Amino acid sequence: MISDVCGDIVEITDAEAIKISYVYSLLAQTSSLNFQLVVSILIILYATIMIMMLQRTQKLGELIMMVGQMVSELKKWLLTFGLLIILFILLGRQLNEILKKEKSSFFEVFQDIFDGLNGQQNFDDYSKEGTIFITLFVFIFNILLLSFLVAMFINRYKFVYRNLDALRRMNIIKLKNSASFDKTYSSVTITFFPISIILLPFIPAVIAFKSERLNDFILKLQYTIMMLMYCVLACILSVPVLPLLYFKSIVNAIYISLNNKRENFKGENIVKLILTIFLNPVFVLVSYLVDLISLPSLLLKDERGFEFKYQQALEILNATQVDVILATFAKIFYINFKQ
Amino acid sequence: MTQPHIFINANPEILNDFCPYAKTDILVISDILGYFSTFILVSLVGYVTSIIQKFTVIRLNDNAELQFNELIVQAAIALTSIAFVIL
Repeated sequence: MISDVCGDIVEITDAEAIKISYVYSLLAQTSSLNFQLVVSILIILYATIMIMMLQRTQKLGELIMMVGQMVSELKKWLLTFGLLIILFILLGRQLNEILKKEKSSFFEVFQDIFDGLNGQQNFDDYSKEGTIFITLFVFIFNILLLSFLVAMFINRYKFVYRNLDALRRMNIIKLKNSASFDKTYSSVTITFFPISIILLPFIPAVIAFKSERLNDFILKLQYTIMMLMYCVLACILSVPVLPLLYFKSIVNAIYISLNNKRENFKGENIVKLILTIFLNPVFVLVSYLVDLISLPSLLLKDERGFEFKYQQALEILNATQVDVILATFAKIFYINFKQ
Repeated sequence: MTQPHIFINANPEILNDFCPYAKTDILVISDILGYFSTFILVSLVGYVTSIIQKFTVIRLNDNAELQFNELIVQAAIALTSIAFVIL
């Protein structure tokens, strides 16, 4: 449409005209299943699934778990006392001519009861009998049932708060039961979206052949995707910091050159400052690349120690690392003190 | 969304103001839609895989429990994504 209207005013190529027509046809849809409706539903669903994912985090997870418990209490309450609300709606509809000044549909009676539920009833719409009816409902509901619901929430909250740790562990056990490692089919059972994006065509083969090698290969294939995602994330986070790192090292070098009074040879401070200025970008870049290259090798370690490899990497040092640390300590304690 | 047919008999001055912005804006929207469609397609495949994974776990592991809430939301996302692709 826009391409028709604007064709003489601005230059629109055929490819652009197709794009414009497509977008216009999508955004101007008026059918019951239209673009706006589908996108709105998708946004709601993605928000819901994000809340479900956050449930597994430490702090937010507790709060979301609490909300889940409250919802289950609300369900119990509605199942028990919902009958009373339905009773009032049915009575309101049956005795409509006696209770109200004007005739109301079933939906309007439902709206009246809902208003009463929120304490926003309009007495002008009711006859004398109707006023007694709606007052009775509001009284029973707001004084008795609503207080009871709040008491149920508080009671449940206290119980859950006391047993939060146990509930959390129970969830972990459930998750471990569902996603535990297995030699033959864990490439299907322990991975998750988005790294499982390539898994779909391989699922029948993994289940049918029950091959350790095939399982290992597909598991590593999926973790390669995760590794690439980590690398991209590392690049996004660390590249903006690199100039700051260079700037900091130059400031350090200037400070050292101004304050170091014990030069090993004449002009050492200046030489080191110049070396820092010119060679530091190379060192920063090389160390950055080394980090990026070592990240995949850490992620693609043998799957037998997969569950513990991060903890091992944190807690246990290999022989070379121990030597480096001991040499550094020796340097600090013996060589620097001698000077 | 502006209804462009109301501009069909408009004066050239109005069209001079309207058309350059309308064209640029809609082309930008078209690009955003392209990225969004790619994301929806990828997530459709991902969530279908995730649903199949859940049933596979149930079949292969006796202790596993089916997480109904997640399953329902994932199935809803998959169905809505299919509706999006059809549109």
